[in-house]
Amino acid sequence: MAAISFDVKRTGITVSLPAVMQSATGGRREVAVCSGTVEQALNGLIEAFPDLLPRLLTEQKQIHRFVNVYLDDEDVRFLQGLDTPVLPGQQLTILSAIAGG
Amino acid sequence: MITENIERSISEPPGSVLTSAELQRYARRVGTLGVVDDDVVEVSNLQRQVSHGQSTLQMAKVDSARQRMADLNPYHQVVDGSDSFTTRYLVNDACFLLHRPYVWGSVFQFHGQASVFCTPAGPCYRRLYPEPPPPQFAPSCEEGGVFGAVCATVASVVHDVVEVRSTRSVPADSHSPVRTISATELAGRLARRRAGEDDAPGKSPPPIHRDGDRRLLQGRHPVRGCGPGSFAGQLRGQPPQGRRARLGERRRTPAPWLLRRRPSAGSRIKPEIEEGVA
Repeated sequence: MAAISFDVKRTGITVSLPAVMQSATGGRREVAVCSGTVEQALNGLIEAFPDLLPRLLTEQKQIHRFVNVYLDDEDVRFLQGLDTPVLPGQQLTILSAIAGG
Repeated sequence: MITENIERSISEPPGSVLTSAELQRYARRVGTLGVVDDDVVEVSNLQRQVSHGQSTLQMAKVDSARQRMADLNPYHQVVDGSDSFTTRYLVNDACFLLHRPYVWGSVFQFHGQASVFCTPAGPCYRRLYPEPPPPQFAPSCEEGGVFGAVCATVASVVHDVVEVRSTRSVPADSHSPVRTISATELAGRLARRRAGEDDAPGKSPPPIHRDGDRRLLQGRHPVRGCGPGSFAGQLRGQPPQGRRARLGERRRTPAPWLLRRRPSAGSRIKPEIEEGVA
């Protein structure tokens, strides 16, 4: 849980997780990680919760095509992908395709 | 399943039966409206038979009514509340190829997503989620559970979209975001979507690989929806198993279930509420 032991407002960002991933985070809906790039943020997330790895990234370390990562409300695929800079105070939102209807 | 309420009504005999209420109902897109009438429009009809007008005098009333309804609401709206990725991609592709807006809603436990795709300048569902997730990462309602009120909320959002689209002119370049609904947080988010270059009018379609997709989806969802015990399986003559075989027993269960979750080998989702009593 080292990933959440710093001051989020100064150095960190908040990652909001979809319900289907919350079983991998012990029920946490939001996790604070270090700012930097999207890739670094996701790596921080996976470091804290290793079960998220197969749900988020492919074996080639790309974001799954059924998962979308938004920086504030913009899909990072339309920014710079995993290299998109993430500034302190910004929010990352992960959405995943859901099956139910 | 989020299902659209489809009403059929036959108006007979003619005259003022086709009232403003029925016109309004049609304008609100409640479903199919059938009209049986052997009369023609006369001036004396106009003070009460609001579906006709001066411009349709002497026209058969059925034609006049059809013209008026088409003038009110020419849309045939596709609404998808399916719980199968195969269906979802199929409906999306059909809408894309037919240039019809595709209104969609989906649910999981206490959460939902809704949006509209295939608008003239907007992306299609494949742009949002190009591939379906493997089953263990996208449990069905049966496996993961779903909160009934969330279905109603998502259905309301879907109907809002349908009604807005069918009663107001929507700018061609409007992009509806994905609306997320969460019953646990009493708040939703709007996530912007972008059309790819291929979505622009006149450009090539997004990657739709008809047979390839079918194989892909069948491989990813080998049992659900079509295997033994499923409804589709029963249609093919396979004996009912599991849930449907236990349906009688389930009906005798005294306490109502707020959220039911059934264990599945493929599901790694742990229930937040095991057996809440409503």
